[in-house]
Formats: sequence, structure tokens, C-alpha cells
Amino acid sequence: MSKNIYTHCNYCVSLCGLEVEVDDAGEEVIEIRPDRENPFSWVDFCRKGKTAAEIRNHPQRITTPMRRVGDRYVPASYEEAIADIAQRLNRIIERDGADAVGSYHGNPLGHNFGDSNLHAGLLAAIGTGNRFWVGSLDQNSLHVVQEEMFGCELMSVPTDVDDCECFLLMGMDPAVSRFGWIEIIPGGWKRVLEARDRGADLIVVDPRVTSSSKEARTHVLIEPGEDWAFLLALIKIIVDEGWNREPEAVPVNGLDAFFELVGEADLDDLSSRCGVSVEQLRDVAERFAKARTAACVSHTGLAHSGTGTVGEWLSQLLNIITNRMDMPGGKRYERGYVDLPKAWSMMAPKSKHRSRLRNLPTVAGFHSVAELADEILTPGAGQIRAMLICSGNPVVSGPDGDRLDKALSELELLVAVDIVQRESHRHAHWLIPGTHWLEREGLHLAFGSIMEKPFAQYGNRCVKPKAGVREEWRFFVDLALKMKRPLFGFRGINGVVRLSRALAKIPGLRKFEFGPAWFEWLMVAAGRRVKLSEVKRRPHGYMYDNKRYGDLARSLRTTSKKIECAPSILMDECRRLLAAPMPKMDPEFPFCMVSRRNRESMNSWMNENARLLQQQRSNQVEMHVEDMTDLGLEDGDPVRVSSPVGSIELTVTAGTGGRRGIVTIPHGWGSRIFDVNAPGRYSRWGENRNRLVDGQRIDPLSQTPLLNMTRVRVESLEPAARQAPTRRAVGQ
Amino acid sequence: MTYVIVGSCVNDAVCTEVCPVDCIQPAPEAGEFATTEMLYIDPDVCIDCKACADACPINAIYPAEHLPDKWTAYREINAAFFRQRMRS
Repeated sequence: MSKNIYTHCNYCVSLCGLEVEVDDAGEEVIEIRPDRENPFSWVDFCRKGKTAAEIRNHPQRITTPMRRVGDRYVPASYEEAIADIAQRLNRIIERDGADAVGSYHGNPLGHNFGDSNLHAGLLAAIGTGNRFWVGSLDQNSLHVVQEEMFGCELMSVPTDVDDCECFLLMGMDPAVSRFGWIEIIPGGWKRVLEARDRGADLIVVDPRVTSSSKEARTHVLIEPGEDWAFLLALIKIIVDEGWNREPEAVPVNGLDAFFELVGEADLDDLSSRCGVSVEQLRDVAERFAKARTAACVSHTGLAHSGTGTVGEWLSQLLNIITNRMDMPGGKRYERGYVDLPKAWSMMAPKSKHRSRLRNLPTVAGFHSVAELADEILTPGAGQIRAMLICSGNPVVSGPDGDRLDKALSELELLVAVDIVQRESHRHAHWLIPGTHWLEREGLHLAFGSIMEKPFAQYGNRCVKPKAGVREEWRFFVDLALKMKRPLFGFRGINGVVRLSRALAKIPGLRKFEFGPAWFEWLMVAAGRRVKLSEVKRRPHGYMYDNKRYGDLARSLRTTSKKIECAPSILMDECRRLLAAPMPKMDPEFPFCMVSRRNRESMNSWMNENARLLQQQRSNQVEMHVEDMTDLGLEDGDPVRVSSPVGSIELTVTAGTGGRRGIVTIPHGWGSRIFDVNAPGRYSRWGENRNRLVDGQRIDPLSQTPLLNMTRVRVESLEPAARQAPTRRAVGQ
Repeated sequence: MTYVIVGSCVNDAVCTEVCPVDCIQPAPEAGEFATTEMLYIDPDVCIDCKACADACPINAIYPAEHLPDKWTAYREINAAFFRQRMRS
């Protein structure tokens, strides 16, 4: 016998509704299907969700704490692990101060609110300011812009896709990514295509030809990294032509100062920077400004470009000056079911901490991964001597992984919490088992406000955690208790936790035990929009209201209670970019490396799934066919790609067109998965292209490394075979 | 809506590997794969995700509403394959 459990997928932010068939004991998944009764997301589903049980039943899964002894790991109990880690952490804190303990966490932790919140509670108990997270690798630019303009680091304005009549899409390939970023729009790409078939304009801006750009009415082949120049040019044309409109739904501040900056820019200069003709810029500007409804949507591609924060800001301003902000068919703010700034601060508490070496502030409470290796390797007061890595793989996700790997090898204590031992956990002293989302439950309190519609779904637990595995949040709480340091830094709270645990031993009182449920209940009740019981009663999800417009104006957190259009840090950085000379080609590193996503891959943690990626289980170097011909390369040839910080070897494949001079390599590959029971045995697919990315070069505002703008050289690994470039056609 | 496989299909079967709902038949593990002329998409199960069309090496898969004129009959041919299966 079996039963169906309804939940949502937690790999990406599409949060597709799932029908999970499990055995009667609730221990094994039989099959995962799309939940066609999910009123929000049933239109979306992919093989990542379908094969989720393969990752949950990973052959290398860690199911008990493992302690390093020499070059091998031996099983231990949670009690032994927690006692040893607590003692060693306390010793390091007493000797070197709390900042000597660092932390890093990745997306899988962020997808569970309870785990994220209690992780923040543990870090506050430790008292460290040396917190690092994956957000600094993709989403920081949005946090900086939203904080500056809206007064809250997370105040996303999802695209109102169904009513939009002109889409301007930048830095995204939604045919692959499904439109998800810091906006949850299930079936987003499909709905864009439906709108296009009804007559909507679709403009895709991308230096490459992608599955998305092929569907566009206009594909703008932009110079990589120059999105800001393209956007500023559009704004300049719109303002000069008088096509701009007063925003109706939001109060704004500083537009005059911003228009002054726009006046300083030269259209021809912007055009040559972004590689788009003035004629095409005018065409796009006019279509966007004159459309009845329109939305400029900018995603990760901008964030990785080194100029992404200015780009993101200009993207918001383009929407503001054409009256698309919180308007039908534009960008709509959904206030969600809880007080969002509060919920966000529970996941990502603000911090005034500055980094020791580069003296940089935090973004959303966390420092940039680009700084992590230096903070570990450089001696002195405040040097990181211990790390806690939770569901993260910064050696593969972050820049210059070789240097970070070396840094991690020099730590006194490295604790990794994850379902398997990954590349970044190679030197771990302790491996603590993690859970898969099929084994967790919870209502995500921050996701409600980045959804495109008022929707809430409780993520039900489908199967029990593997025998002997504790949920992450329990480990975090247990560790804080053992360290005798108050969770969240609140004196007295540890006593409350202990008391609730004692009470929970009494039959019938178990549900009152301290845990994520406390926060869910309190936050949803205080939000006064839905009842938690009403959400839980609807396993397919709850569309609790109709879409409405105008909430953004009431929710702004700036001191002026208006959208700040000309924050000084963004104005200054934009002026700096305008004054900087155009980047010159470096003859030694003539290509620009950009990233892309494979649909069946999710950052650094699913490439080992045997039921995904059956044909091509590796990343490849994708180049323009004419660049390949010049180098004498054919499809499938091995090449070496080098940058000033490293080199990797992969096979090359011809792209489908676009700008020359671009080398596209998907990220997230090349992570080893170690077998904890057999020293030296591991599996690995593809190569880690981020080893080529310099940790010193960052976007000065978001502190994100240039994952999309690294200059590289490509060399054939078969020089003897074809010395002279041949002119034969290379198969596409 | 559904996707439709047209007559130029070469039974490469890469589409069956990427389909998240296993609605493309006959799959290589099925006995009739050896003899089938082409593969078919079940319109009642297809969720319109386009994974198959993106994976097809010879562009033999189209959304039903964007079928080239010469292939329009294949919408019905795909659907009929599954109707016959239900009867047999």
C-alpha cells in the first residue's frame, strides 16, 4: 500500500507542487509527480523534482556524525560530536574571540526557513561577525538596490507576467531557468510565451543565442557586462524624447538628481560601450516606453557582471520612469502573509560588522565569499580559525576555489553539515548529516513576499529523515545549548528551550516543543493575513487573496517613505563607470567567460544524480563557431582554458551563434563527492570553472565576484594534430 | 496544450530521458520500441514543459498550436497512439 503526500519542490524557487507517493511506513518514496491540483504551480515541473528521491537516497549519504581520524572517518554519536565541537569552538572563542569562528551556508539551507532561522540563532550565540553566504555569489546586487531604494534588503517586485504587453528580459535564460530568481513565477516562461502569442512584445538581451532568445521578437546582442550602459541609454532616450511618465502607484524621491546624471551621459558613448546601435537602442526604448504595459526584468546575468548593482538599479529606474512600478502588467509587490522585513531579518540579520582585511560592510548581514580565503589565511587578530559550513560548497560555487581549498585545509576546526561530503568538506574534522527537503517540513516565511500571487503552501514532510539523522535546526540548537551560549544572543532563552523539551516528554504536549513551528505560528498570526491552520488544511496550497496593486507605497521602509531614486552610492558608482575608459581586450586573455545553466542541473549539488543528465554528464566549453575555426578546433576537441588565477581542461562545443569572443562554461561542476567509508574514493563530473575566477575583483557594491566577466585564454590540447587553422565548417 | 512529435522522428529517444512525466512512448525499455516507426507524446499527460523539444537533435517536436502545415496531422496521430493502447 502507498499514500500520496502533497508538498512543493525545494530545489529552485519555482516551488513546483508535487504529488509524492510514499510507502505506508513513510520511509521510502515510490514516485514523484507534478501536483495538478496545485492552484499556483501545477504548470511547472521538471526532472530535478521527479528524481529528488535519488538524491535523498544518495549512495554516499552520511547518516551519522563522522569524526576525522587520520585520513579516514569513523562514526560517532551526535552527543560525542556536539560535545567535542562545543568544547573546541569555546576554546577558540575564549582564546581568539568570536570572529575566529566563521560560517558559510548555501541555498538548500535558505530554502527551509526554520533551519535558516535557527542557524542565525546559533551564529548569534557564537557572536561572530564573520558570516558568509551564497547570496554574495548571485543575489547581493538586488539586496543592495532594494535596501537603498525601498529601505529593506528584500522587497522584491515580481513581474506581472499575464498582463504584460512588453517584456524586456536581461541576464536570464528563462527557457532553462523557468523564470525563477528573487521572484516566484511558476510556469513564468510559458506564460511569457502565451502573452507573446496574444501579441505581447518580447525583447531578450543576451550576448549569446539561447533557447529564450530564439523565441524573442527582438534579440539584442549586447556586449557582456555592459547592461548598465544599455539601460542608461534607454533611459536617456526616453527622458530626452519626453516618453517618461510620472509613477502613479509609488511616491519617489531624487528623480531630478537622477535625471541630472542621465543628462551627463553621452548616447554614442553608451552605444559603443554596450555594442548596440543607437538605432536599435531607440527602437527598444520606444517600444518599451509606449507599450500599454511593460516590465524590465533583470536576473543573475547582471549580478555576475561586476557592474550588476548599477545595472539592477537602472533596471528598477527604467520601470519607475515609465510608470511600471506596482502597476498592472509591470512589476507588482506582494506583501505576503507575514511582516516581510521581520521575517527577512530572522534569516539574514543585519550586521554592522566590517571585514578585517578589506574593511567591507556586510550585505544582508553576510560578507562576500570572495573574502573568505584571505580571512582564513592571513594571520592576525580576528583571523578565522574554525568554520561551520552548512549545505554549502564554496570551493566550487565561489571564486578561486584552489585558494579557498588551501585555506580550509589550514583550519583548526572545520564542521560540515550536509547530506554528503562534497569538495568544500574535504578537510572537515567533523561531518554532520543533513536532511533532504523531502524529509523536512515548514512554511517559508520569506517566500510569501516574492511570489507573484498571494499564495501559501506548507511544505509537508514526505518521508522520515534517514534513521539516525537529526534535522539541521536541532543540531544548531543542541550545539548552542552545549556551548552554554544563548541562542539568538537572548539571555534566558536556552532555559526556555530546555523547559519546553522537558514538557514535551509528557504525552500530548510534544507539539509544544521549541522549534521552527513556534516562529511559524507567531509570525503568521502577527501577519494577520492568513491563518496557519487554513494553510495547513490545504495540502495543494492556498491562494488566499486576489492580486492587488498599491501595497508597495505603504510598505516602503525608507526614512522618506518614498522610493529613493538617487542613492549616493549608486549615483557615484554610475558616474565612476561613465568616466572609466572602455575595457580593452587583453591579447593574453582574449575571451570573456560567461556562465549558463543546464536545465537538469542545479548549481553544485545535483550533477551526480544518475537519473538526470544521462547523455552529457559534464560541463563543456561553448564557443562561437568562427572563434573555434580560428583556433583550429572542432566539436569535441579537448582544450585548456586559463585565466591569471588558474586553468582547467574540458572539451569544446560550438554554440548557436551570438557575439564572438565569448566562452560559455556552466558553473557548479567538478565537485568531488567523497565516499566517507572508503578513503580516497570519490566521484566527480565536469570541471569547476570558478577556479578561473579571481577572488580579488568584485562588484564594489554587491561584492559579487566577476563570475560572468572573467577574461580567459583557450588553447587546443592537441597542438600537433592541427597546427594551421583550417577553414572547414564545424558542426553545430 | 501539448507537444507533438512529427514524422521526421528518428527514434533517438533522448526525449524520453528528459520528459519529467514519462509521457513519450514507446520508451527504449518497452518491447515495441524495436519496431515502432516513431515516438509519440500523450497529450493527456504532457505538461508542456518543452524539455523534449529542446533536447530533440533534429527538431522533430513542436507545440501543437505551432505545428508546421505539413505536419498538422501528427497532432491526431500522437493522440491516436494512446487511444489505441487503451483499447488494446
